[in-house]
Amino acid sequence: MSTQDSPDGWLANSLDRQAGVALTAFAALLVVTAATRWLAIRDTVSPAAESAVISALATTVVVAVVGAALFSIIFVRDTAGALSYLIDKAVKIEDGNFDVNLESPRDDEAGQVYHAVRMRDSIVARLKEVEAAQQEAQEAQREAEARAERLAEQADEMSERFQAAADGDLSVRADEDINEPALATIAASFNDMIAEVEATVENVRTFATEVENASEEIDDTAADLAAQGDDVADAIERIAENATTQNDTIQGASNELSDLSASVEEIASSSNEVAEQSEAAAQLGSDGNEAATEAVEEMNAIREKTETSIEQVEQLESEMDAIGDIVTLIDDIAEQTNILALNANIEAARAGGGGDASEGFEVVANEVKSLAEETADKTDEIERRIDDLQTTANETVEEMRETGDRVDRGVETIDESAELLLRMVEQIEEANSGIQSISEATDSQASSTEQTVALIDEVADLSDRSTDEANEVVELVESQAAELSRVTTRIDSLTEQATQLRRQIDSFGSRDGARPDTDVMSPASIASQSPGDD
Amino acid sequence: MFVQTATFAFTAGALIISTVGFLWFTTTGDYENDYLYLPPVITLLAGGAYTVMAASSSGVIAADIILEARYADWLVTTPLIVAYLGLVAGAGRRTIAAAMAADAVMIVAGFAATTTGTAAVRWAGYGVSSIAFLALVYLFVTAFTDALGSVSAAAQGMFRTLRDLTIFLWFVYPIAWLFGPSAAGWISAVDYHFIVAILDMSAKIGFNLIIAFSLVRVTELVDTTEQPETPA
Repeated sequence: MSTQDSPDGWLANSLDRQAGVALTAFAALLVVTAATRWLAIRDTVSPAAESAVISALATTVVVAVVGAALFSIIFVRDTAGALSYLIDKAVKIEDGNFDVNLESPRDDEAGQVYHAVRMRDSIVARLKEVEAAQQEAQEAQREAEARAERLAEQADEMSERFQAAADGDLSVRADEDINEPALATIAASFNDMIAEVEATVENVRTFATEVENASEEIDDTAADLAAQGDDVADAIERIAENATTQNDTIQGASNELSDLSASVEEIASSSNEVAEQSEAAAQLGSDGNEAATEAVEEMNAIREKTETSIEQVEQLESEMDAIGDIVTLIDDIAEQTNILALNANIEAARAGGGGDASEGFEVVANEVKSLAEETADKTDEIERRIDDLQTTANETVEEMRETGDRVDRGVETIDESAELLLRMVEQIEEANSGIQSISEATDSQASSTEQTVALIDEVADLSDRSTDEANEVVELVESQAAELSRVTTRIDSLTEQATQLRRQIDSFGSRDGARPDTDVMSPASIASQSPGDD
Repeated sequence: MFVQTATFAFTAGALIISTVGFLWFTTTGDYENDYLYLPPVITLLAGGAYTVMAASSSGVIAADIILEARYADWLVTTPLIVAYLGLVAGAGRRTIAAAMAADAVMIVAGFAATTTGTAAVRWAGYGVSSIAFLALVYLFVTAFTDALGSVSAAAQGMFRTLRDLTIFLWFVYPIAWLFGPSAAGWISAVDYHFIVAILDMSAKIGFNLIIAFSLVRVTELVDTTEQPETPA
């Protein structure tokens, strides 16, 4: 809703304001009516009635104004709002903004107005567009007709010259001074083209000669190449054979290495066993050493005992000597007793023969004599026995001394043995550690051998593949050779065509107007193949 | 007192009929609107209050509680009217709460001014009530109206009509009060009750009618997909 400065405009362009003015006028009219009616009856009513009447009139006026205002707000305001909304849209359309949305949610009269405005608007625009297009089309048609006539005449003339050029006369030129710009352009283009064709034909002639020479060279080269290709194929076949042989060899090596791997593993396990046995031997050696030490101790004890025994035997011997002395003494006594008995006997004989006393005395002396003799016999026997004992004791001492010497020698021997055993234990331990390191080395050797076997297997795969590839290459080289022979054939025909081309161009450049008698190479296609165009 | 009782009774009847009519209209018409339950609640409460006032006026209820019933009615129904306006406009919760608070202050101060015996309290109450009313009008035309961008054109039109009706009619109440028995005394108590009854009916039944007319025209008020124009 646009507001204008003048009071006339302020009132004129808003239904709202008009309704407000009408409502105010209505209220004023009511107040004036009530006031005049009250003045007319004022003198006739009592003071008590006066205030009641004023109250009634005021109430009526208030209620009437409220009623009028309700009507104005509910209907006039709503209608004015709908219209001003439509006016906004119309103004936008007037300003050229045809994208304005003329949809209205309303179904009443206001909504129908929106609908009507939308229809008209689009039809008018369409009609104007159609008229303008029609006029343009008519003018264009007239212009085109006049121009077409002019063009036909000049085109005829130009066509004759083109025909001459088409017949082989490359010296002909079109007239460029025509007032029809399109034809003048065509003429100029034609002249440029003919000049270029002329130059091109010359180039092509030279080029054809070059092609001829070049293709002959290529022919030779191709033959060489074919021969070389055959050689290459042979060489590769040999390579393939060699690769197969190599593959077999590698397969054999792989198998042998596998065997070697197995035997190395066996060695590893055997060396482990040996290591265990040498450990057991070392244990045994150290046990023997201990036993020898014990034996030496026992021997020492024996020697001590022996020495003690020797001493005792020697003591026994000296005691026997003492016994001998005693026996000698007894022997002496027996001798003297015997002598005494003899003396007694003698005495008895001197004393008298026959009497009893001498007889008794004689008997006693005989008895003492026999006792002394018996004692002498016994002491002899004791002496003899002591001698025997002494001999035996001496022998025993001798033997014991011998035994002591032997024990000494035995101790020495056992000491030496113990020392030897110790050294043996050391050596066995050394041997054991050597065997351990051999075992470790063998283990790592076994794993290395396994890796080598894996590597050789890979190599075998590779050589398999290279055999296949070599076979493929052989096939490729063979097909290449076939291809090459085809190329040779092609080049031969190319040489032939180049010769033909040169002959034709020779006749074409003679400008005698004679058309070349073959359509293999038209001037246009020669021009498009010219190296000058590249 | 017959005229006064008849006025109250008639008003109560009209409000209750409006309630029933509006409910019948909205339930049979299948209209899409989130807040259609509020207007019948407002008219029903007002109808109840007028029934009490008629009973008090006719002596069915011994005590004279006409003014108490009226202001109690207003203390509940006028904030609900304010709330409905705010919801239709799409205003924020805090704005709506502030407007309802101003409305409650207006009613309470008006009750104090009407029932007091001392002139000072009377005019102070009238002043506070008037200021609260002006603040409420200010919120209606600024914050509520500014929030309108988010609702459909049809809802915008309805809001403007409801807002203008409410502002105009609510301006008449303090003017009539000035003429009435509490102030100038040019209008008698019976006539004053009559004017207030007319105003109450206009404000509440008119409110329902405007909503009904808007619904008939466009069937959907709150659907925002129907915005007819976006600036090119």
